[in-house]
Amino acid sequence: MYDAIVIGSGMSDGWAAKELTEKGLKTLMIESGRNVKHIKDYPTTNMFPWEFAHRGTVPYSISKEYKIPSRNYVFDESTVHFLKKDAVQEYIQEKPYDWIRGNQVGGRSLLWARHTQRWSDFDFTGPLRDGFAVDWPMRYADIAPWYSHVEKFIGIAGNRDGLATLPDGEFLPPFEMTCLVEHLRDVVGRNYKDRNVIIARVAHLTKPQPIHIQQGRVKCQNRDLCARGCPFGGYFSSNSSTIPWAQKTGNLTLLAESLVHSIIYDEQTKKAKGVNVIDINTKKTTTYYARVIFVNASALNSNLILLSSISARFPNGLGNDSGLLGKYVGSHNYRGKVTAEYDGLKEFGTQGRRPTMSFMPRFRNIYTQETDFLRGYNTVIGSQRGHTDYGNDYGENLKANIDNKMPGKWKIFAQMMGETIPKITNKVSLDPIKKDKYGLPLLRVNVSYDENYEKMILDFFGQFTDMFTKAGFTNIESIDTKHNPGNENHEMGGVRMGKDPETSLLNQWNQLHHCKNVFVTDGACMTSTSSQNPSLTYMALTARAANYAVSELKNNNL
Amino acid sequence: MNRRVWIKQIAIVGGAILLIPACQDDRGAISLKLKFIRISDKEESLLSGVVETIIPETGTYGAKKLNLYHFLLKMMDDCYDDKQQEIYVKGLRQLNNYSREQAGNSFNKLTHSDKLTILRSIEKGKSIEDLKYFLAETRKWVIKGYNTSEYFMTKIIPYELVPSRFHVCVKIFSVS
Repeated sequence: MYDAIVIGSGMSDGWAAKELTEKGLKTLMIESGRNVKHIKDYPTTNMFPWEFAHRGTVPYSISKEYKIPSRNYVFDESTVHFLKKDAVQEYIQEKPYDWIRGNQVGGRSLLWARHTQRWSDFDFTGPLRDGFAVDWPMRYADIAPWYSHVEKFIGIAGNRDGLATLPDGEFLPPFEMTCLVEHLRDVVGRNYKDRNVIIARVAHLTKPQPIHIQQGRVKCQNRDLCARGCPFGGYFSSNSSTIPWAQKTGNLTLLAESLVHSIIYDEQTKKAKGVNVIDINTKKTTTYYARVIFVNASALNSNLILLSSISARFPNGLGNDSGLLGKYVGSHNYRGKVTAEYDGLKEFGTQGRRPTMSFMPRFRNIYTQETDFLRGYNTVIGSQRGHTDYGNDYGENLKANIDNKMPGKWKIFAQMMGETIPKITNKVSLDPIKKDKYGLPLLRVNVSYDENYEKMILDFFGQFTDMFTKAGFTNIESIDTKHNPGNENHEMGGVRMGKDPETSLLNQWNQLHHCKNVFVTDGACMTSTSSQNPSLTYMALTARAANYAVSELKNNNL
Repeated sequence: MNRRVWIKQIAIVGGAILLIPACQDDRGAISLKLKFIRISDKEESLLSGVVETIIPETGTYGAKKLNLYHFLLKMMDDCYDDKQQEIYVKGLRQLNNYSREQAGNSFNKLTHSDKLTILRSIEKGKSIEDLKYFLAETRKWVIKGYNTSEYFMTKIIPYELVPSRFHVCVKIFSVS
């Protein structure tokens, strides 16, 4: 018997484990993938480019087993071992959907883009103002202290920009902008009063504090090889930070290669009492018991586990009286990209590498509805002065271009990160018949783009073409990547928070309305998607919910 | 035949079969072992001629010294499906015909500058789609093999595994 069970070991699970074990709760963390220990299990982390037999390309005999993640930017010869093979967990795509999944302790916290922007009340009040989804059962003031709590521990590099749309946090010194982005910032500042180019806030240690040194992490070395796992702990991952921290308390038991089949509901106590777990090697089922359960298996798998947890009281899935479990699944709109070149700043260049970029917070529809689509987009802006172009020639000319140490043109790109509108028709459900090799029902995924999404892409193209033109950039090109939904890594929803049990699954503390000792604090809990990278918000929600769970246990309310 | 002798003879014949190279055919063997792609020794030397034309030795190492052509074949053999590999080899086999049509001789018999002229003309050529695919893939991987080689990344434009810095705006040279 444990005090707490945490299902999953990724971004939010590490936080649940840290908070619960620090407060003295004997905690069991269950992960379906293999164990990955910090540094020891990062096999490619110190490899030079020429040491990869295929110089980064994944051989066909391997990539054909990873068809879905092979379409994601993070997929290459140095990271493939951190992604889930298609056959490990099959699912049914009612519409094309790229479900990008880690398959190890740490989950995608090893692979993430490390952008950590806070939400503001412009985000939390979005559904209420614009009449979609349901109102969030909380506001910025409720989560702000928890953002601070998380930020101090994981370490965020950022600048205090003083923007209403993007609240400042607890920052280590920021990364700097390139001179090209500074030029863009000045042009944008002169032309638009409501648009700001800032340096992105990212989970990198630019100046480690004692709390980071205690975790065994040191300063970010600008390797920009983060997705291989960082031997310096220069960026935050569960592997480098929260999980070893929780282990040090002596209160954490980590169970890898173990798949949660379902949560057991006790009809007498009207609480969840444990979980059924399948050993993925022996396929033997074991039941583990606990007083409180955090279901953070990654958004869609949290939906799957709850839908599979059937009892006489909950025939349609645990806590699912409203019938909305699995519905209102959201994503982000990452399809638009604008690239350009600049002929100016000829005598300046960049040197070295870095793991981050610049950022433009959302400027569309902030105070009033001003476009023919709802909500808006953040934008990540990257720029670098690279090498001279190789050109199209062969032989001595080509070779001279490659060997040439002269810099080429400045290049810049803008990548949109748009909010999407969760809809009842965007959903996941269980296949009534088909099961996987472990006996779990196959998940059916039915998520697609809508008109709002398409209009937002066109607006992004138009606005950035204008801004880039004003900045004097050339060769401006708008690119629609046409990626499938899911490819942006930010699947959310299905177990949304809300005030009313009739229209939501979770309350303001991330407890199931109808089964209070079960908490969901990963992407599944999201009522709306905002346009920020979501991990920081998952972590803050988790820390907040975990501390609430501890106090409720103490007061015998769970 | 006595049973013992019979077994012995079968064993000898079996052993001999094992000694026959896996890809034995009427062509000569090539210099590296491939899993899927089958080319002859003559085709190998044609391919090697193309690779050396693309990245010749100049003041810096060329394709031959860096063995880029083995890297190229490894990429084509390991990282492509059978259909792509088939088109690639077909394209390679079209090169000599194309070269004879355009320059009156097979590719490897041309001078270096005529070889370059042939390669430059392929992009604009008509009804030689497989040859274009062959050349584009070859060029891509030969460049990659060169600019990610240990030689290039240590001697020409050094690569830093741990740069520790990103200078956002350094004066690199003065514009005259």
